Amino acid sequence: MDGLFYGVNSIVSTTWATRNQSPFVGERIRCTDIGNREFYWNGIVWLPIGSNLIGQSAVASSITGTTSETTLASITIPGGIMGSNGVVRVTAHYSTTNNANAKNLFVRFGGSVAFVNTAATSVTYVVRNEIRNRNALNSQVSNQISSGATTLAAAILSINTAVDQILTITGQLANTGDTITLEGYSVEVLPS
Amino acid sequence: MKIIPIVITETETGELISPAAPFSTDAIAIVCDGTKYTIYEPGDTPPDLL
Repeated sequence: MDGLFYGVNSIVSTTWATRNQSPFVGERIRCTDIGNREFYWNGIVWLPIGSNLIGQSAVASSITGTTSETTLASITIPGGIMGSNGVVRVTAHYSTTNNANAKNLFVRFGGSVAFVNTAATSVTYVVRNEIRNRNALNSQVSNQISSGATTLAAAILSINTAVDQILTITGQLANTGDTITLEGYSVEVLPS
Repeated sequence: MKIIPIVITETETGELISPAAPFSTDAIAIVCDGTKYTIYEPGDTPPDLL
């Protein structure tokens, strides 16, 4: 047989950007630029096989000495990976100087603030946040995940997820003598 | 250790400091002091900031 055979049981190595744009249901790909993660096409979106993780680290990333908002980590969300009803879920663990000074903890998506919370008088802080596409690739609602009521308003975003977007985890101190350390994070994509 | 310069951009909430280049994949700790990012690698001793 001449040429490539894209059979149901074959897995094609590709990059996310150069993946087959007219896939058949059940087609599988391995993306060399997303940690060799494998996906299959369910007719609507590319579903990750085995794990939804798109980024994860436990390398401590700290800021001190500035009151400017500062990037602690950046993760690329590949364009089109979410689908029209997909979710990006962020879990972040922080350590902070234990005093009454405010420490703002941001998640930005495509440059816009998807979530911000303020830590004070705490040693550690855990944030879970979900960014959901609202039946469109360019409309999102973002909430903190909690088990009960929260006074934090949902963020409404209009980020074009059809193209690559950068998710950044940032922090901001009120006092330059304090420290925020991002101890680790996980970023998952739940396509739909 | 490696040093990565910072880039400052303006956002709707003020200045945002970002690294001018991606962090090293073999980093064991990262510290930004507002003027630069210091990347600690295996064999380095990261500072105890907290």
